[in-house]
Amino acid sequence: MSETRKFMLKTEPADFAVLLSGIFTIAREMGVNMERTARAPIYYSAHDFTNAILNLDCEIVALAEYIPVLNGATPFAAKAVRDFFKSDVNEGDVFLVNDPYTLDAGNQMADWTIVYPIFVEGEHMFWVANKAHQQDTGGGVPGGYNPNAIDVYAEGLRIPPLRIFSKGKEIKDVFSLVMKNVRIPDTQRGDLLSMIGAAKVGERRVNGLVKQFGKDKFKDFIEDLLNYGEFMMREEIAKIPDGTYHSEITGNPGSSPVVCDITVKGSEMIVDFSQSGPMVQEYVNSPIANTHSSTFQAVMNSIGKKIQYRCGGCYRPIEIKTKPGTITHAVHPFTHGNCTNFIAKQIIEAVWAALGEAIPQAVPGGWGSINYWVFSGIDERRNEGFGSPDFLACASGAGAIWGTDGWPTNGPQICSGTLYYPEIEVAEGIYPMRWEKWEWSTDSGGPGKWRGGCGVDNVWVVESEKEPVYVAYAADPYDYNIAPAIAGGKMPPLNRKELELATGAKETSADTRSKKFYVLRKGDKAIDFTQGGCGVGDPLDRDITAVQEDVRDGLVSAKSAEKDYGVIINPATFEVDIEKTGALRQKMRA
Amino acid sequence: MKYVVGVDIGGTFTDLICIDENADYIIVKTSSTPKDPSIAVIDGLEKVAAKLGKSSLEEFLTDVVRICHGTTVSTNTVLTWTGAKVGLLCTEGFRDTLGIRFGIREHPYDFTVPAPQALAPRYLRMPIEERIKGDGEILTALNEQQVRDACKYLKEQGVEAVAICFLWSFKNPVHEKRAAEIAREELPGIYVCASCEIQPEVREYWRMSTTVISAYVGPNLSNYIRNLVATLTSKGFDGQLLITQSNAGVISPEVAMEQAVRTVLSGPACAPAAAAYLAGPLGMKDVITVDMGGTSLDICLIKDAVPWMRLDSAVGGLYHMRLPLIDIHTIGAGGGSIAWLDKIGALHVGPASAGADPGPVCYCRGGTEPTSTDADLILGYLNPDYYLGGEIKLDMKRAHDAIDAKIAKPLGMEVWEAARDIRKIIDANMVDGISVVSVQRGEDPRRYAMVAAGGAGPVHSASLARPLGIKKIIVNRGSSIFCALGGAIADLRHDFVRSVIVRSSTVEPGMLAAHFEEMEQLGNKYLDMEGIVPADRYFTRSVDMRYKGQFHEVEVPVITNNGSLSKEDLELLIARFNDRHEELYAYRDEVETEMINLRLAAYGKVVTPPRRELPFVGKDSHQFIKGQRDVYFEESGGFVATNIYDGDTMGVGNIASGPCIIEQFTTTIIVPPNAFVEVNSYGDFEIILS
Repeated sequence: MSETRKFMLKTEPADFAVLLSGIFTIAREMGVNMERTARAPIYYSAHDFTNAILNLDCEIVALAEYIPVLNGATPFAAKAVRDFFKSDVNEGDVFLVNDPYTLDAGNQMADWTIVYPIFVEGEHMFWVANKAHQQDTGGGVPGGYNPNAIDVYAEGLRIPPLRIFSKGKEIKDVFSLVMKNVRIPDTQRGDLLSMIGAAKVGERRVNGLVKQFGKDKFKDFIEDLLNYGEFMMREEIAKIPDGTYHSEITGNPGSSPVVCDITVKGSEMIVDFSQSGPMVQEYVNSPIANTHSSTFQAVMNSIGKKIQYRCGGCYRPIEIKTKPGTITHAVHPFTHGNCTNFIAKQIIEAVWAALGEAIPQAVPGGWGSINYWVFSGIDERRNEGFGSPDFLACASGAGAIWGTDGWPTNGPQICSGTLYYPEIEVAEGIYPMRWEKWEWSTDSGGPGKWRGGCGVDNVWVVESEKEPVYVAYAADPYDYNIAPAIAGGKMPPLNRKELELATGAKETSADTRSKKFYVLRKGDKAIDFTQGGCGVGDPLDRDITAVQEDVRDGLVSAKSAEKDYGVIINPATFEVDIEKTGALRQKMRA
Repeated sequence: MKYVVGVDIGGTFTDLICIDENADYIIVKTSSTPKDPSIAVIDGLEKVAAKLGKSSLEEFLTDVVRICHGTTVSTNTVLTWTGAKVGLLCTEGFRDTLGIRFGIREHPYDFTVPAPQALAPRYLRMPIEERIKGDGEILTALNEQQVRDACKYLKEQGVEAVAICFLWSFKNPVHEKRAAEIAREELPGIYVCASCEIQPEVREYWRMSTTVISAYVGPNLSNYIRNLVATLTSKGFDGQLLITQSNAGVISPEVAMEQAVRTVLSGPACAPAAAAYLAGPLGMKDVITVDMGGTSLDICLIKDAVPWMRLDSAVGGLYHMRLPLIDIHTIGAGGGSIAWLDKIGALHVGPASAGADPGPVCYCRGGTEPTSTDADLILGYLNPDYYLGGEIKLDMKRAHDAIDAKIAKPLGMEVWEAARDIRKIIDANMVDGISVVSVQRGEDPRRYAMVAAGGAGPVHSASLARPLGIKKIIVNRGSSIFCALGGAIADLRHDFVRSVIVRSSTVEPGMLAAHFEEMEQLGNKYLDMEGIVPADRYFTRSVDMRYKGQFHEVEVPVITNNGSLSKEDLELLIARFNDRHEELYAYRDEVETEMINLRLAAYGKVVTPPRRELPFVGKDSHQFIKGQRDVYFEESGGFVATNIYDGDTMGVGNIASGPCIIEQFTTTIIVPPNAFVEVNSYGDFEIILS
């Protein structure tokens, strides 16, 4: 079914193309600026940030896209500042916000947003929202992931919309209050300055562009751009057969299901999470900004994957419904610290799974779940503090998609390949640990006609002589299931997270999940296996040569080739017994 | 008479420039021969010999003191996947560093794009038991037997090259060096390279990927160079053959074979050097070069006569390498860029291109999609009967019909309006591209002159210069052989790096000086080999610095006469870092700084004939007007009757005021209203915009 839609640009065609290139060039420049000046590893290496230019309705006009799951949360931060300060916004003001429970401003408390008004010739025309994950956000533990928090206060400093610069001048007492509540203030101050610097670059460039074309033309262009995004998304939604599609992602006892019902009608779509289960004890409850942002990511990398300009207009034909008090709409004072990793992933995969009922060939298979510690302590080589998630344990495999194998070591899914893993020489330089292993794990990708990408074996040992390394469990507390397999694809093996202590004692995955905190000393070893992605399509239909190459490369064992793919391969010569393979596949299909 | 020859092998043409002691030059273009590029080189040299009236190639070659050879052999080897079968020795436990590519996905929303294949496939990546720690201490000794076994296995697998990269080898290369020794013993005739020999710099993925690229292109390049040397020698050449690198310097064939990766992406690298050579005598040290060909625009910023450099790059957008190279910013905007409407009727130009084949619709070679060149033809910029000296006839009607059918009609506009919009869009894309290399780096383009090259460069240069506030554009008569010229005049250059990773407050100046000294000695070793006398050598030094805890560094030049460093020099260095950081990123900080890498470049000067001034002919250029046609100018708001000059016959001092068009054999120069063009004392055209 295809509706005929007509679309008229107000802007001259040439001006539209010129401005489109111009505004996205500006957003990217802001991004590059932030990336290159940042201090905290999570921000420069993990690319755990995003920059957006928004109109006064807080619709995204242009983005520098670093981490996809943060993009859709920028309008919430801008809206909160707008609604809190109303007309009391001046040129040169800088606002800071992180709290998910004040005006729904934040997606997660460690993701701080600098909101900055852009004035052009005295008129407030746009907002910049630069959001970046901070190295620390106060609260009960360093690094912002507090698995034992009982409420939001234990998770960190709540920052409602807060003015930190007034008309270009730093409000020192206020800024200082904030900095007194984080653990590594000099680094973090540098990061905030970097975010503000990037916003100012955006301000300067937008001013140049508006002056070049005139305000009226520019406003017309913004309207056109948003309509353009809306039109492109409607085209994609219209390709989905009308109907209601359902999915449910569940986890271990104590978890709460993420339930997604998608109703497609013509070129519009309602994504309804209100049937999801109640909020949970663990810190994965999703504030509404996180739920929205995750949903948009899911839509953009499934049906919207070919849309080039991912502006706020793309969001217009999609209505998201949630019910306060559910795991997909957390309310004060429930904990939420790790919602951008867990529950964000489940929300995204619930959307894929529901869409998968209608259009299985257009949605990806689920990704491996990340499996990391947050470590912190004193690095005695320099006598300085350190603290960071172990990004090397986040290298889960990507799910396959119809026609393409999943990429290996590409996670977390919420980053979709925008996270730079620190190289071993970088990691060993900034953390007092030595890595023993970081490589693809055999049979870690889910079998399928298109195989899931491999996950990783990640093993490190504490090197410091005296100082301990504190580790906090930050893997999925409920071991949520990966989205149901698509078109006969299979699941990857489960994550493992173990410790081998220098004393000889061993901690199993079950131990680490329940104890959550350890103080590690020299020689203590962390052993993580981070899973690969889900396969797509029946593995018995996988091309035999592809299976043979996987076995030769050690990505799939000869045993799995036989058991999962029905392919008989000599593990020494890698020769395939075609006859036996044919027979086995026939038998397995029967 | 002695000669210097510059050769540049491109995809379509092989260009040669031959310069004599008086700085007179001749240019030859010959069709490239991709299967064996040296055929075109010899063919071109024969043509040069004939042009000079020599009786034979041999007679000519005995008078040639230097041949500088630019080649796309290595780049194409990567782009076309025709390199060596590469094995890799890596530290046990870290077999997939190369395949993981630090986790990055180029298209984060589109999962249908497959993962790139590593240049050394997994079954040829051999984990070796060994481990060096971050402080350089040996934790696990190298298992030599395992290295031998791995080599035997790789030999059985038929590998043609072996790369070696172990963790922390830049701190302590002993394991890598020993493994390389064993590999060379076990695998005679097979190309072996170790990361400590190529780029001993912290961050193992970049170092490894750079080394693997070197192994991947090394055998092809070595074969090619050996053949070329043999052929040239057999024809009586006993001068010096030099190979251009991606840093715009040249090296001896031996070094090029050993460090093959340094020739990757060397194709366009010499153009900026040529531009600097042209602009230098005019007193212009700050120049932006724009080279617009059929499919892309190459942009480079030259500040204070030095082209902007970069360290990180990706061949074909996928294969990462880290070594100093000329920072050419390439965008998909060329004469063949295709104009198209998306489903809402928004007009776009590029990045898809019709290239040279089938080319623009007006070439009548089967192209059906309207291109930038078709629009330029409709707008009157191009002469249908005199394009490339009349070699290609341009069909106005076909261009008109294609733009009408694909763009104008659907948008409800006139054909000329559609052509105007196509041009506006491609120009704006190029202006954005130029702003990326200038404004975004804190450089004010208004301070810069523009050098326009490539077939389409001077057709668009004025439209790019105006919005950026650039006042002067230079167009060289030989602008289409820029790379050959840049190679011919390039100095020898060897880059070295040492990673130190120290806090500035605790660093001993003596330690830095010792590293610089060691690198200088290495440079001297290479330059000795290349026969450069000490008086012709010079060295530049720099330090990659950052604020404590930052991830990316800023390269800061070290000013010293002889490599020694005092406390004051260090303080100056830190101050300069702060300035540079603010210039680039709009803020400075008070916190401690770190020094990560020390870099030294060792140069050997070559003798370059100075540019020669030509005699003044006169200001009046009326006699060179060969006709008039209607041309569209944005400034005039429509078509205006415009004088067409015969550029090939204009001489020094000639002035023509805009709007006008200068037609030359190789290119067309557009001079808009409120501007004039003058032939300067070197015979180049200078457009002055007001």
